[in-house]
Amino acid sequence: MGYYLRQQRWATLLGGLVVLGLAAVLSTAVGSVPIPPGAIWRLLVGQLFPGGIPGDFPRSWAPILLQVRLPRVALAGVVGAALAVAGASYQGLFRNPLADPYLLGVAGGASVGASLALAFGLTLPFGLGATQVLAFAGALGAALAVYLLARVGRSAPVVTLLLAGVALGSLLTAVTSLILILSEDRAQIILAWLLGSFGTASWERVGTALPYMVPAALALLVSARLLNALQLGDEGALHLGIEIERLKFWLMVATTLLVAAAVSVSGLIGFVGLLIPHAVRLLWGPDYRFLLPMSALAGAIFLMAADTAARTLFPQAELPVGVVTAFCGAPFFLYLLRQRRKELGA
Amino acid sequence: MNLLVRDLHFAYGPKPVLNGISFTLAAGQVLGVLGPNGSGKSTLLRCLTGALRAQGTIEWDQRPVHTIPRLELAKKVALVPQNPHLPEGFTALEVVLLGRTPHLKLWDSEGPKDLAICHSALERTSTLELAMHRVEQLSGGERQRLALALALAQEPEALLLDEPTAHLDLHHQLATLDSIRTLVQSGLAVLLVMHDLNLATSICDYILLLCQGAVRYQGPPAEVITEAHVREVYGAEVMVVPHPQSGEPVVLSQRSGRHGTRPPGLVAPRRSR
Repeated sequence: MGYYLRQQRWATLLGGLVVLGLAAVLSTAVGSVPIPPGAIWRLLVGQLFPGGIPGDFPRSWAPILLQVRLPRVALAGVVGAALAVAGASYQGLFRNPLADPYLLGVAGGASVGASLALAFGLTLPFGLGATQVLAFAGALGAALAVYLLARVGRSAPVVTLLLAGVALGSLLTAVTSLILILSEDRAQIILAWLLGSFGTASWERVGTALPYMVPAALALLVSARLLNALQLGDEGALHLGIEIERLKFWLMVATTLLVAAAVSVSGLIGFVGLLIPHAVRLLWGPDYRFLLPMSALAGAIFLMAADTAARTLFPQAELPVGVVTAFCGAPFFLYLLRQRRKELGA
Repeated sequence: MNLLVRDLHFAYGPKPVLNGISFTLAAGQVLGVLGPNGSGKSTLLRCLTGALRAQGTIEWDQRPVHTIPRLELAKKVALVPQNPHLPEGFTALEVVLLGRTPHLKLWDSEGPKDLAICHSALERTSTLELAMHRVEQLSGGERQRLALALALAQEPEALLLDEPTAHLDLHHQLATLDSIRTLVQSGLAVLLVMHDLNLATSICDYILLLCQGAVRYQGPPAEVITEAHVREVYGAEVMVVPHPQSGEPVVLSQRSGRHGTRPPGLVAPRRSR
């Protein structure tokens, strides 16, 4: 797998990296205060080496670039990559094309945590963001509960996991709705969080999410070949010498960490985790060793672009980025699906 | 690889499936497991790999199956299920390369050696020309041969096959049996679950005839496949005649009813005007 395609795949990944770079520059340049790409890198160099390349820019550009624009673009990229990789991993782990990152009650748990924090205006010591911490804890707690509920003996059957996830998810959604209704004056803030936004992005947020995301993503990348073998079914994988229950458990842990970290810094952003892995699979095949890194790149590019559209399409108000991802993502995906069906003659 | 099974019991919940099965399988031997539907043949195979946990003794080279680490067992024992679950979207070559999983370390990817092994596995199952086809483009018989290629890519010392010829046309049935014979000559131990009694007698050295989870008859084909045994175990009236070339038993269905004992087609049934 991959042996005969290795060069081609590296070239594709490299191409994806180039597009990612271009998308990042464009997203950074566009906004209520446009900053031309030429100025961006001069300002950056000037920041790294004081007195660097001289340039005559408005004084406001540097703080806009460094404190607003760049962290926002970076956060969108990181969250997009995390959600896409998580979606691909869950789809492979559960051998279910409808699996998305919010599958194991993670969305419900995070929503309850975040809406509690927002409704009561909670604050935490040490300057930690209460919303972020509670969302993270809620997401992990819900996933753990789903796993424990679904466990039979030493294993957790896929169908039971999915059903437990759906059931607990709806319960938690009901709780969130209740909080939303009871907290009249803060409902707007909660709703904005639920729909997902990078409006409050900061370097701190990027910094708090990455320590969970990077090891989790690396663990998944290392397991990619085993994810391929898992597609033969539990018993097929078992007969290839894989300790499937252990593998599935750790894949779930890593994936849930990715999602929880993403959700805690951005709210609930739909479609990225479901659509991006499918699009990558349709275009380049199902080998997880390529699917995971390419999904990361495509997810990052997609969410950067979506967020840029969210904050620039309407000058009066920012759109929730989740609305944009659904609006652009779903038709594009349907187009891909149609193309593929034609190709297969189905 | 040698296999010893003694007094094997297995039940799905309260329903007993295997009731005290004992046999041995030696390297270079083909053991056929026959029996009617629901006699526990497939369950037996899954117990032998430790996928199901049975009571009794299962020893591969004198080691109980549950003391052998999964990875080690997968390097030596391969199983081809009756309806293999092959992932859609993967090409045939990609599927067969999965067979190298037990031989690769976590960080490794397949090298030229693995590719050569898979090439030969595809060749031996006459699926080489399908290598770049996607699984969903393959027919049932092609998938079955691909599943065998996947098992061969594991380079096992023992091969457990569940109905390997069920979906195959005559040509590929014989070709598959031929490649199994070649493997056995190179020292592989093969355990074969089969429904086709005639194919079984043509390849097996030894046959276990199962009935309701127990071995009813066992021995060389000529001793096990007799009219009386088949009538008792399958409840079917058959004729057993020696094969004109090999002398192995051949099972023929008995004609009865209005065509008498004449084969149909030779003499048109008489019609009353």
